[in-house]
Amino acid sequence: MILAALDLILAATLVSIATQALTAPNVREAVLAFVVFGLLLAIVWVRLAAPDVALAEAAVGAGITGALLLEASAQLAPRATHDDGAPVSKSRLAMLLAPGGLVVAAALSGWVPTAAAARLSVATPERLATLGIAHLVTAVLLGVRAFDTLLEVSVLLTAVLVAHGIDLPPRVLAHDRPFADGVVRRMLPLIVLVSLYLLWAGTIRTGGAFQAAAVLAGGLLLARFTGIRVGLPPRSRPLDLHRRRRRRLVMGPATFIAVALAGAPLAGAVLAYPPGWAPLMVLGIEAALTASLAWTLVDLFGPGPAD
Amino acid sequence: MAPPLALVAAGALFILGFGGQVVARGILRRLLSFNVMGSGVFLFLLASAPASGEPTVDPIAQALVLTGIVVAVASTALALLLARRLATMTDDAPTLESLDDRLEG
Repeated sequence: MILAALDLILAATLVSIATQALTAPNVREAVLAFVVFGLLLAIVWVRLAAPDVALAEAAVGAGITGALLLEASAQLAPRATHDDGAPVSKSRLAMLLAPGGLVVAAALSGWVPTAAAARLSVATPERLATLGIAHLVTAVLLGVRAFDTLLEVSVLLTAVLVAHGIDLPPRVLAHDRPFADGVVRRMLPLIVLVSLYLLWAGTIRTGGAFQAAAVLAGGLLLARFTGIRVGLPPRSRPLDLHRRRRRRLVMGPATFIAVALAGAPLAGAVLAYPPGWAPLMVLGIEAALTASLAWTLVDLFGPGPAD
Repeated sequence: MAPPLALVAAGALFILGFGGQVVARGILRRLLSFNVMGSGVFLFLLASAPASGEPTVDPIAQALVLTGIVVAVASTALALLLARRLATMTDDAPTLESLDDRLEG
């Protein structure tokens, strides 16, 4: 009973925050409302029993997308006044909502009773079980529907290669040295740890490569925004975090394709795994994907300070 | 969350996003509306997948929405980069909003 009331409040707040994101007079307010919308949506995913989607929504949907929009708003709508990007007027939205709502309600009225019978994975529980991966979503992403994930990774690679070709001025570094030297420097190892945990946990419980990549991308972005240099003891030069490079973007998809093609001689079909080897190979693919996807998401923010 | 409530919220988000995208001015607001619309679609997808008896909802539906979220962020990022490039190319229209104003006479 209490949960049902909380769900109602959650859904109503979600829709009202979305309206706020569309009709806020100030573009920056709109973007911040959108970030809050993403976080509320993450809670809704939890209420719908989809924890992996909740993690991805919080990290990628709210975090990365919000950061992208905020940064672009600094250039595209620099004067934080009322006359940049006129907001959608509420009366216009209301005029659209009335007939649209009727149509949607009519469409949904027949859907709800039949939804209980609809199930996307009809014949796959047995196939999921034979893979030997404890976490079902990872088993779907890299086992049963691995080709879809491969295509998704290719889409990301294409997007970032196009992004490399767009000529924008190099990034201006943040001036706030106390934040950079103090907070960011201490947060970076923790961010790497959380990302590694999410990657490892994806094989047995909620987690996975995309969530780990988004967290790692957040850390790399902090380093790129503040100019921090990261050096490992045996090396004489710090790691290059501030320039776009192509090799580290390709490593993940290349590993995925290599393992996929190796499935043909080893297990009889492309993208198939030899029996018993699936968890280890999936972890290897996800590790390479995490690294490459993190750099992909970082490079989608535009050029670094050294470009 | 009960499926009917989630479905109604999904429908509301979709209409808001779609309507916002049609009447919004400026690339930032259009992208915001586009993302809200996409979230409505994802909510519809997962609200339709039953979670009866099992601890988490249909894993294939989760994988589909996960893929959708990641692809949506890639397209949003690319759209923003192109918009920023367009803004730097037009000297006397430093923001896309003023470019919109000029085009609409």
